[in-house]
Amino acid sequence: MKQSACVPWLMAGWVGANVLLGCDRPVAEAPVETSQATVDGVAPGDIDWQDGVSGDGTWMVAWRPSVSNLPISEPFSVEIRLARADGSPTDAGIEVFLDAEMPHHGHGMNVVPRVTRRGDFWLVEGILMHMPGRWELSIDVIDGDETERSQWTVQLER
Amino acid sequence: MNVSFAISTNRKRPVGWVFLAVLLAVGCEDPGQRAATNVATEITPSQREKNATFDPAVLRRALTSSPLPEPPLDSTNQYADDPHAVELGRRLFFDPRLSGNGEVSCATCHQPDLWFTDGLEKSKGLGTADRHAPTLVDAAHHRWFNWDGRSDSMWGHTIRPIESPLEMSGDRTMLARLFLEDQKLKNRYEAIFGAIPLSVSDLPATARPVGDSGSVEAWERLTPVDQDRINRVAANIGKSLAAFQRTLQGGLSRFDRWAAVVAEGGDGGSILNASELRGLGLFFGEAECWECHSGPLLSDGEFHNIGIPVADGLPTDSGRYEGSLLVREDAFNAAGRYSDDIEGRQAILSRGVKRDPEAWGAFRTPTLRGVGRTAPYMHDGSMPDLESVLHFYSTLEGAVQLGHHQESVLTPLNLDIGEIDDLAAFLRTLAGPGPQIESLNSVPEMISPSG
Repeated sequence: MKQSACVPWLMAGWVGANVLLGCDRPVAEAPVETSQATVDGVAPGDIDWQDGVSGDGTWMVAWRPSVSNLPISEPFSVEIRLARADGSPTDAGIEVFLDAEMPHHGHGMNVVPRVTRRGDFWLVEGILMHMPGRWELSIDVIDGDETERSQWTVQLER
Repeated sequence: MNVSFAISTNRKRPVGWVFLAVLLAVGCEDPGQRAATNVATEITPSQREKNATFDPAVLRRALTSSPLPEPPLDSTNQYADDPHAVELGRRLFFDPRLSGNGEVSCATCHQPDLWFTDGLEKSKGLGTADRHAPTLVDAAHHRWFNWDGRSDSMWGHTIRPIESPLEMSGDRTMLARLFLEDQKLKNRYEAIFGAIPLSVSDLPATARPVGDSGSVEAWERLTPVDQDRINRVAANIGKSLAAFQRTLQGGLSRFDRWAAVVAEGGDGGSILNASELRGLGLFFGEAECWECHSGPLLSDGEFHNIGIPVADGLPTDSGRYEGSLLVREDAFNAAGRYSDDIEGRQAILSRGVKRDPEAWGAFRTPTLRGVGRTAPYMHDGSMPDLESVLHFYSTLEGAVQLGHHQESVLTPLNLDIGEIDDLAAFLRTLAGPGPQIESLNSVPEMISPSG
């Protein structure tokens, strides 16, 4: 398994097109939004599409959380979109897996998120990053015997 | 809950003009800049001046830990906020008829005047339990229940102590019989949940799927339909008990009142004294208590192995390792047929629970709200007071090292006596007025056999 995070121009345009098309966030998770609003009264941030390329450059990977500010110790969902870098079609049998680890703590999440394919995207539900600090979020794309990973560093602070 | 965050990939990436233009058009910010913006908007210059002794990050963490909101909705329990269910649950909570010998109620180990704990190292019901009774005050904010998280809802969990031979030693069939035989209880139940499609004459005195051989054999002789109906009654009793327990709220503490004043630009100096403020600074600062005791509940709700010492040998309580199996197999879990939201977010979490060796010896982070009222401490009640707990974190003396998977962030705090006193003083500011105990005790008919 190889890792990479380099994004070609094609990827940037592809992600930008998704934004322009006004893709809605995959799942509304009202409790998280409500918590932010009622506890702090601070306008939440707005994480939108994060993008990368898988280890051997086969896949362009983009993800977007269901909430506008990544929560600590509250479950949230992520929408993942994939495209082959060479422009060929995405096979029906492709599997996607999302995980997150805290390298400095020696542990990851206590749960395995649920991944379901919803037409042209994958919905990952039940992501629970339960502590503040540095997380390494990875998305594996599994195509038969080949697995390629994209990885992001997520810093959660209170 | 406010969280500032930054996302970065491993390498600096070229960003296409198309993508950049789109981001600018929709008003997106750089995530790293957003983190700084959040900090700046939370703390005004006047606050900084009046709380100059606090690092801005310390102050931000403190202010985002208050107040504790209302308990979150429990979509697995459609009766969670039904006042009739609350009233039924209140009566059942104090009713010893739910136990096998008719002498133990929920309130035996969760006493109102002890912040809904019992003050004992190990709780005593019909036998002596393996663990210390955690508080029920503000417990509705948790996602996992019991020290090992063996249940994923409050209603599902209430059935476990009722059936535990060391606690109440009752069982679900006995509960169904009680509700069928006590007309007043039956009326209250049926007004909320509908008719009970069972007859006393068809039910054995006791029967449950796990337990002594007699009860298990009796359970297996029941038809699947009657088993399901008994389970449904037990689940509904659990839902009414949970509805009552959701009302057990600690209320605003002195810490909350301080936070409210400081958030408005005041200095809060008349609410917390100097020692308590120094303790607050340690808690949300260099002592890093806030990493696990996070958010308004002052608990991340998850599981950590902190190597709590044992008297001799090695610990035998596997904690979350067993709890992770129990919650997935629980007939009353959020994903099961008695849940009211089997595709909800709690059900998704429960289906995804890892059974991982890393979880061996890990226990749920307890809330620190009301912690000054809930001694003794730790899952085994082995630490008699807050000072003992802080001394342990200060030295990690006697900590059990079970392997390399324990919390690697846990290092001795090396606190001096004054710092331990300050932290303990701060922790004692975290209790509000608590639930209205007088009204809880003024239900004399609840222990009457006539209901």
